[in-house]
Amino acid sequence: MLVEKITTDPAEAPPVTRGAIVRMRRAQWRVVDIRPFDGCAIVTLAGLAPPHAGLERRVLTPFDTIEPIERTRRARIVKAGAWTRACRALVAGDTPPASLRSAARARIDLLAHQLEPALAIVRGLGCRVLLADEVGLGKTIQAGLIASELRERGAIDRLLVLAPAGLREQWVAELHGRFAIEATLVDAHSLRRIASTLPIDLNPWTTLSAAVASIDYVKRPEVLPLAARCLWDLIVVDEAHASAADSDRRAAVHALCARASYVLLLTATPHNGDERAFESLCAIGSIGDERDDPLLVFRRTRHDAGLAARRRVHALRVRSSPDEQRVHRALARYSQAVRAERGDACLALAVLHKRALSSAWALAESIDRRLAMLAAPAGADAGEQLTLPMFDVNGDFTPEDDAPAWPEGVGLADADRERRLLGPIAGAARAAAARESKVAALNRLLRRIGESVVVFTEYRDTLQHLRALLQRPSIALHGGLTREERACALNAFIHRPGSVLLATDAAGEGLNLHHSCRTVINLELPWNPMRLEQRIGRVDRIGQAHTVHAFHLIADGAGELRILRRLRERIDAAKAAIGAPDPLGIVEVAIDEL
Amino acid sequence: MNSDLGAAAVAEVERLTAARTLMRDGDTLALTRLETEGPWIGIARSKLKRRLGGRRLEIWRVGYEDASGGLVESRLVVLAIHERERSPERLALRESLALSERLAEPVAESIATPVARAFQASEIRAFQASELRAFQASEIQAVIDSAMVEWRDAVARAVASFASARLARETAIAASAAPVRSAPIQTGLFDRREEHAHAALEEGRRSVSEALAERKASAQRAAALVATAPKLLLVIAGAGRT
Repeated sequence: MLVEKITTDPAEAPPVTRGAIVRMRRAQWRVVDIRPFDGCAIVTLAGLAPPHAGLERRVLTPFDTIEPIERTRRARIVKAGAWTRACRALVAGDTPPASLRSAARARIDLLAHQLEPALAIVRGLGCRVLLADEVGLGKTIQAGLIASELRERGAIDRLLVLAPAGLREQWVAELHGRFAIEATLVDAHSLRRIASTLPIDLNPWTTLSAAVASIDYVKRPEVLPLAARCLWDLIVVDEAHASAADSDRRAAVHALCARASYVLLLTATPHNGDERAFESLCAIGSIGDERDDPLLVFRRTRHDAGLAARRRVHALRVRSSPDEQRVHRALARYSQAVRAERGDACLALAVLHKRALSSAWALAESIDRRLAMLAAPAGADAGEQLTLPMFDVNGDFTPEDDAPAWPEGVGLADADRERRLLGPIAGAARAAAARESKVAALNRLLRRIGESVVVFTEYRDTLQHLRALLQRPSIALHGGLTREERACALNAFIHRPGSVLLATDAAGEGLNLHHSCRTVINLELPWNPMRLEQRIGRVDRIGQAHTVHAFHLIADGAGELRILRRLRERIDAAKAAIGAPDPLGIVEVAIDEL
Repeated sequence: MNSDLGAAAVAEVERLTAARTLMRDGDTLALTRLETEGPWIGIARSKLKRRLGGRRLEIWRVGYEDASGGLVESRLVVLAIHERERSPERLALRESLALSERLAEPVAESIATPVARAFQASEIRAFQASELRAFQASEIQAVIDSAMVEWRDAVARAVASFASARLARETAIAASAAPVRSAPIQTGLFDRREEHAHAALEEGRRSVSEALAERKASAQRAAALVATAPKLLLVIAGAGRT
């Protein structure tokens, strides 16, 4: 359907055309654009008089009534001020072909590397983009620029941003504040509210011209069909690496992207050393072969962008206490027994070792749950239950930092023998948890630093234990917080200089903390190098005025040095494949002892 | 990506910075009004009048619209017309284009600021807007057209490139979402839930298919360019001279 003009009431009023002056909601506007939209028309209006002067509004007809105002175009003499203002606006808006039309109005600092992806799109180099710049180079701004540019050119009407739950507000605020794109945060509550105002058979997603939703909410079986029935013109997938592996998350994202005119995949950590996962990421939204549907990959470092790296990485070796050494010895004995009986349980056992390296408390929690399972009467259903989204209807929570279930395939046929082996681990872990060497080291480090610090850990139970033992008051940010609690925690950290933020990876992803802080401490080394880069990237971003310091606390004699070596190998593999950054030693690695 | 893009981005930063430096609060609103009302005439005197040297400065906009009527690309053309010799052949075109290029520079300020200083209410009366009609000749359009050949080629290339990428993807999406023959269902004698679900599914497929076709048609329309007639937007002339 071609909409060149819309008719308000054929019997009484002339049709409304582009450039016409109209009255809408008791104010005067000029019609900038008219486009078809689901049997209706989206009319873009520019305000002519206060309080709407200079503002742009998009309305849907016939739901909004637009009345044309007769006005003939003729030359007239104007005062100098008006002539000068119009002349300046004309000259400033004069844009050469294949240039950016909306960037001058965007509230951003103009950096050349941030304009490149938008220029590539307007030059027709492709419709799918992987923005894989190093952390902190402004991927959100680049995505916003592309969205506003495509909107300006009339190439898109519907925009969907899929982001981790914790970043939804940030996206809505950035789109509004920087690009004047009014996006709606979509969750179960808001969707219900929209649906209640619509006829029963109307899909509420179709009424949204720009929506921001969490990937975990959209992938739900009761949500995805409705979201997919609405054709999105541009889909932005933030932290796209989380949708790379084979999962229902990846399937949902691909199903939506495969029908989108434009797809933007945003991640600072596209490659974790696994080539298959990287290929899976690159194939999101792909139709046909690489020649017909190319993926434009942008991978720039600070050096490429002309921003010198000012990061110092310190690896601090922490001497394990006798209790902790006992924990690791007892765990090694148990692992040996399991391997002797099952042979192939190495990977599953790694989960327990990860827990031990996170904190003795975390390991004790896991062992206690296993002992409770073993003590349960035979035949009782001790298995894990499926989690229904009944307590998280809005998709606010991020379960990735929950304590993992007892790994399948880890256990002994003789339950008594397993209890005998697990008992000493639990005892030693409880004893070690009272005086964890890493917590003591962290307290010493925090005393020395004396400014705002972000401390990262992988598990929520470690975070809560750490919070109880820390000598400085701290603010917790984890995946179990609601939207309001999370906003409250971030607000407290930003407005209280010298505070300590304890965050899990799941809750900290994508945050912009560089204006409040420059120091990141990693309580344990994550096994995935992408996570390490994500953690440091919270403070190492454009706009950071100071040298960034990253501290890795590495337990001595507990196998964490082996993880460091393994991380180094994976980082080297990712570096060779796509030039990934090196979060272990961009500037310096100093092995000290605390 | 390629180095062309890097160089283009650097040039783009310079252009956008210059544009931002030029803009002030209220400029966009003034432009909206100008586009609504018609050409605006400003009167120059004193310093600016001397600078114009008996010429009138006209700012025209040349543009392309897509098949939906939306402005796709546009370019400003500034003409300096000798007031005493109104014939189009006497348009000082070479000089005009040079002015056009310099307009984005601080020259724009040097034009605009003296205007603000020189403008006085008494002089406005002396100028008759109706006399402008004498210059709306088709020859002006021909002169502008001949000067904009290079720009028109660049627009055609840029629009074709952008539209072809978009159209290729829309075509591929439409092909991949080709209607699949739905499996037959057994309608229930009393319970018709299966039938309703099937009908809803079919309706959903149909609406998606229609929307895909519309999006493809929209991409095709965006690729079809129509050159619009040059539009006179601003005029600045010396006071007391018509």
